[in-house]
Amino acid sequence: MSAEAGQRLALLLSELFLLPVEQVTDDLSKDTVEMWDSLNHLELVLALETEFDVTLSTDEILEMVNYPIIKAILREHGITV
Amino acid sequence: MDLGLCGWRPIKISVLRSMTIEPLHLYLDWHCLRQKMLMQWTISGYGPALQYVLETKNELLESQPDVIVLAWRLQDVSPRLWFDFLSLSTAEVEQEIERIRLEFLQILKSLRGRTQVPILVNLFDRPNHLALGLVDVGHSQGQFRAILQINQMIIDTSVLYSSVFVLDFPAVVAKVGRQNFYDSRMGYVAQSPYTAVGWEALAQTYVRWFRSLFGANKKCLVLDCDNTLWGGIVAEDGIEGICIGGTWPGNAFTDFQRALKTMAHRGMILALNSKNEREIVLQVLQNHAEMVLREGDFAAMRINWQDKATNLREIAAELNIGMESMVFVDDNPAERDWVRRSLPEVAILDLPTDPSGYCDTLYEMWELDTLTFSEEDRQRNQMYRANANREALRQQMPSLDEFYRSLEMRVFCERMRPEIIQRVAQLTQRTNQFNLTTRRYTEAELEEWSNRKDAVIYTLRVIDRYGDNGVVGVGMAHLEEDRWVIENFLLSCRVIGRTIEDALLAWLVQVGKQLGAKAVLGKYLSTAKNNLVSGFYAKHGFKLQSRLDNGEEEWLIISTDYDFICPEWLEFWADGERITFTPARVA
Repeated sequence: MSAEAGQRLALLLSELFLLPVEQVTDDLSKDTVEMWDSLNHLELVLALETEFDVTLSTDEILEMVNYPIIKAILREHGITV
Repeated sequence: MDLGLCGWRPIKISVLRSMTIEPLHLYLDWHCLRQKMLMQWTISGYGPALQYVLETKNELLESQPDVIVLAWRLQDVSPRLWFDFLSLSTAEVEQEIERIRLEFLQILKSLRGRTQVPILVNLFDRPNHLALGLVDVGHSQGQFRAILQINQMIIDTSVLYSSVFVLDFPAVVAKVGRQNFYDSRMGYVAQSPYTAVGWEALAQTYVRWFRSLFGANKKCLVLDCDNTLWGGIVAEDGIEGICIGGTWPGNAFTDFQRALKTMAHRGMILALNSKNEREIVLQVLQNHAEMVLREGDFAAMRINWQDKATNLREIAAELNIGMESMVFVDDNPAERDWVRRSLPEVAILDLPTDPSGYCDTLYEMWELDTLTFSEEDRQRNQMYRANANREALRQQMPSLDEFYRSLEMRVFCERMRPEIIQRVAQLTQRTNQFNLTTRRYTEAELEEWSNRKDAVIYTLRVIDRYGDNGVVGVGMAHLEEDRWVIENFLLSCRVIGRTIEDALLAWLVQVGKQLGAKAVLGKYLSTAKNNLVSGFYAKHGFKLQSRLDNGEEEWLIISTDYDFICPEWLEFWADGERITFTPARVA
């Protein structure tokens, strides 16, 4: 189950930011990804909430600026990624 | 590949918007694809729609759109009516409504002076919580009533011009439910006000409109009888035995017939296609007390034992319409399949097995949408329009200068105060379009910069008729020998295109001169997103001096060549003082 959620997350990020899925690593962050602008950040929030059926707080929305933080936030919501 | 040949229709949409609407793109794209439309959109910047419409060089119109969408919200158009309603007197409310009316009229007039494509404008929703609370809706001075009045004004103004269509935005909100539609988190964090469910519902509604504007609409509903118009089988149950009228399930069939009658009033032709004895069906049509539809409501009838596809062909020939304008309505899936296979051009209404869903299924069939409903209707609209032109003639179109003046902009230019350092850092980190060098700064770096004797950080705050925009601009400059180097210069996208940048630049140059600079050097570093400002320094008389290896450009102007020119429609304050400069060369 956890591998599956992790995979879904990686796929989601790869599709959203137009990256090969291998490039979805812990280095992935708002500063390094060209496509990760403020509008795609919105798309990211909407996509995460839909995919994992969670509701993120405003703090979480603003904090999740890289892959490790996204995973940490999802874990706090009980998603094993 | 010619997509047109495969039945795909490219459609270009220009969106004038007052809020973040970008998330809609994904949903629109998807629903367009489902309707075989390939969508391309251009969106305006933030800010008053009128401003974009008045600009002579106008990306929205130059892209030659097929449709123009005005997506606006009352809280952006009139923050006072939305947030501050109870501070307004009755007269002020009326004035504000009149102002919105004139602005809307000017938008339509200006657009219609340049293009005849359809314009789709939405009605305004109401706040979640009305100003007077519980009693607001029933109160003569209520916010609810004012918003109703504005919406009515939007309708009345829209009918003045041809092909201006009004989208029932409050109904979209109601469809999914207010709580599911709005997302205050995203509204506050990103000025993106709706949930995924909300965007989805909104996209569906827009695409329903686009389909109706650009797709082929149906002309004829071809109906089965037994278990479609009434419950039961008349040949077996007898005329008295069929279900229509009264209680369940007859009431569902009555409502379905009423809905069909409504469709007929809209201009849809009705026809019958039933496997039955002709006489017995005619008896129902003529004699059954509860029937809503009568013999005269049907333009053609095929009541026989032929297969239904053959009947459909005959009906099309009799009415002289194409098979592609027909919709076949039958409760029997086997009949629907037969027609679907034999006549793929004919649309099929897939009735649910439970007749309580018949009406909704009919009303939700997008291909039955029509844009006008009768010849009379068309004439009436023309009458309205003749009046409109008279009114429009009286309303002179404002020039862009006049528009700027009407914004009542007050611009406050100040050395960065410590309490806004976080906001300034945020601006340098988030601004992409109007950003000359796109250098990002941390709060610590900004603090260091502002403590230098030979450097300044100026912030720009703008207050206009719509309210306080807060800090929306930053300029950073420092002395290098006798040159005043503008290291960073940016403006939030909310206020682009209002000449505010001219004031900030003018002031920065002025400060440099006071510090003894002989020349001003402006830096520009091209990125993927800041093409908007590639000509900024050239426009202000700077000359390209050099281009560095990293692509950075240096633009130079001798400071004596540059006057402090503040656009006359800005009330300009710098460091707490009102500055009223008359443009004059500095000796």
